[in-house]
Amino acid sequence: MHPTILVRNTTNKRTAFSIVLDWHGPSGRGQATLPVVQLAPFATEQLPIGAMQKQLGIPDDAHWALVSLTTNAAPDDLIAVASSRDATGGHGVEAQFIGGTSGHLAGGEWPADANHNTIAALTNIGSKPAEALLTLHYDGGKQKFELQRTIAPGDQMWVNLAQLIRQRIPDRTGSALPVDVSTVTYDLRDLTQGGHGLIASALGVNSTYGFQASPEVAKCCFNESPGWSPDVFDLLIGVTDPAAIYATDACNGDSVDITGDFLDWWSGNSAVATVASRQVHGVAAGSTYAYASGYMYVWNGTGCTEEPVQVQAPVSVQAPTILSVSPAQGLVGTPIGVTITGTNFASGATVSAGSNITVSSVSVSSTTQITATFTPTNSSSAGGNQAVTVKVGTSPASNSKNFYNQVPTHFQRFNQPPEAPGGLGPVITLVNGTAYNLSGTAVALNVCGVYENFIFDIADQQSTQITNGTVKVTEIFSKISSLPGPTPATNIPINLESQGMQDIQIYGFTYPTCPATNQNQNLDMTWTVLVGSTVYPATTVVHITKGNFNGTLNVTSNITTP
Amino acid sequence: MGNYLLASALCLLVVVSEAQTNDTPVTAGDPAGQRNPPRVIVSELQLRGTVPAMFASLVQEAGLAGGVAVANQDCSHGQEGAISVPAGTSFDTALGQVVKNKAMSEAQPRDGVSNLLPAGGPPPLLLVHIRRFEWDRAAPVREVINRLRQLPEVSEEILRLGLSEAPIEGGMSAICIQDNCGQKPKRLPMLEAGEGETLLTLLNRVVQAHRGSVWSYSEYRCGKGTLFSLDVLAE
Repeated sequence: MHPTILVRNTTNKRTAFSIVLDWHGPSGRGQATLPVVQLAPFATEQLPIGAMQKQLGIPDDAHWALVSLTTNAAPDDLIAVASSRDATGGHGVEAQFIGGTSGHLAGGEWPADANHNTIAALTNIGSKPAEALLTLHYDGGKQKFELQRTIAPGDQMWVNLAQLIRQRIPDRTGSALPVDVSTVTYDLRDLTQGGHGLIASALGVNSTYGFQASPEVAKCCFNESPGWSPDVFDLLIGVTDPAAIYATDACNGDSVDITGDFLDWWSGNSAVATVASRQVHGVAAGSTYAYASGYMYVWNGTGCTEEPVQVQAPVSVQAPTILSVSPAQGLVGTPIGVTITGTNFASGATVSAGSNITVSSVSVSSTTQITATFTPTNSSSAGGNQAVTVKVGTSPASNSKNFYNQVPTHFQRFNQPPEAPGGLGPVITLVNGTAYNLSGTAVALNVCGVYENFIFDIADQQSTQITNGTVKVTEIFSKISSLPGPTPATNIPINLESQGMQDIQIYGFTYPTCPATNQNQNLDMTWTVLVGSTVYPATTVVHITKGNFNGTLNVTSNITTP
Repeated sequence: MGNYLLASALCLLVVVSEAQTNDTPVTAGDPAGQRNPPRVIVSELQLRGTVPAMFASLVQEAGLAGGVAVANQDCSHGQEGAISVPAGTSFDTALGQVVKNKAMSEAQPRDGVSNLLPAGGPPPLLLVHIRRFEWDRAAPVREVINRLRQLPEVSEEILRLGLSEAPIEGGMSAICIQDNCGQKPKRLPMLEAGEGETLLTLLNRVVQAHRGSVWSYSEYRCGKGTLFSLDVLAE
């Protein structure tokens, strides 16, 4: 082979260049530097490397070299070609100099068949090992053949297409090139994170059989439109979101992860959000920007070069907001499970409900829901509404929603039609009959007299029915006209989640005894409610009149308080 | 004279019952303890009301059944009081607090039923003998006791003793006001019968099948006569 380098000055000015050869061979590898060459305007210089090989100290068995040309001239001022051909001119390669390398190179057509060798040379001119993925596209781009190799810095990977076809060599997926393939296009990627050191060239061998040796100059695939992914950060306090930098591959429009080329990351306001490599962390409610700077391969007019770039993305950190608290009330001294619905809740959120509510078992179910246990502790009827807020991290507390500290203050009739519309059952007169309560239980048998059922629920300071907890209710009678009066029911347990209180007022005797004319009973009835060990007297007073009143057996009740 | 003999026999039973106890504590509601309770422990309690009311609350908390009889010296239900029972107190000790300075005698729970009776012995009406009484253990306590009250032997004894029944005045209980109360499973009829037993014994046998139930007998001196009521304080 006769290696030659041709350099032409395309300008009307003098210019200079220098050449370094990184040679490789069985005896090893080395570097040879040629003297600086001055080029007259529009002059062409031919450098017969083969003739200079001994003078340059390159051993005879060196079989290839990487040629680096350095000049102060502008791109396209110099055109350089490295050519190696045998004496017949039938075998050889011409390689154009390119202005840069890339992590993604796309090339045109390589002729290929099983009988004519076309050798692709993939060279790593970077300083780190490159994980090269060569993809050969055939059948109109519908099929592909993939070869993956690690190429050491300054080393090459050679791919003989004819050999691949002849020997049915499988690719990394186990597929082989079909025997009738005639052309391929290729795509070369450096899979190494941040790797950009590959160049590709091709050697047509034995072109006397019909192939024009057509060294394909790979086009480097530069990147464009870098940006953050996601392009907007909508963060919660205390939450870290992953971040990446992507760009668009100019060759195929693919999105390319170039995060590895970005080493500097920072926040516009670290009191709002902190930014580190590949992550953005919400600190407190507010807005700022996340920044990252690094390098990206861009097109410089003749090839790809690394240029510094900086990208930014808006960051918004949201404060928690409460939409509702459910249930919005609970009985004093009684734990109750509460669900807080809202927005921007995050792990570690704390719930406050003021000094009159003990909050426990706080659990952030999602960004929109928190569950907790509230235990109202204020036994005063004045301790009603309590402000509930959620706090995340160092951010200010959320807006507040009320939770009502319920104290049992009074009883009110509970409307339960058809048994007791308006809380009142029918007045029933019996002669040797059975008095039933509203549950259908026989309360007294063989009664001669009259009875009526009443049904009550227990209400709070706002006259809202209390619907959680278990209480014990005790009757208190006063102003009894006919002693000894009824035996007060004591500590009757009532589960307020599902139960109310029923009272049956009877005035009668065991048959055959019956009430005498005008015999009656008048009394006042009220209750106390025991919650835990605290007794809450009800303000409700029911005046009861029952018996043979005005000649007709009757029961009347009149609630006068409140 | 016959009444005194019967009272003595009851005291003897109490002594026998005490002799069978041991010091192994059981928690309230322990079925084994209910059968032959060595030492029932109650949780912290606030007891309020008359002696029968406090007794009924205590029996309920202890997971027992019971009966209380009081002979009030006036036309009232008696004085009301309030006591605090610390957690871990035995049922016996708590009951002792309830009857402190009262002319009452408490009996050790027997077969899960505790009685609190006047110190001078059970009221005479409770000692009337019933020839035969058959009842359904699954039926509500109030219903069965109402039937006991209607028995001819009881009515005759009321007349013989010159007692008048206090007016029936009703009472209070919980009622389901939601759809999710859950229906209690209906219990299959379990017929039981007693022959030649006293009203007191039958009352105890009736509540025995209903843990937490307490029967109550009260006498009141109203004017020149004596009223009585036979009721259910807890069920």
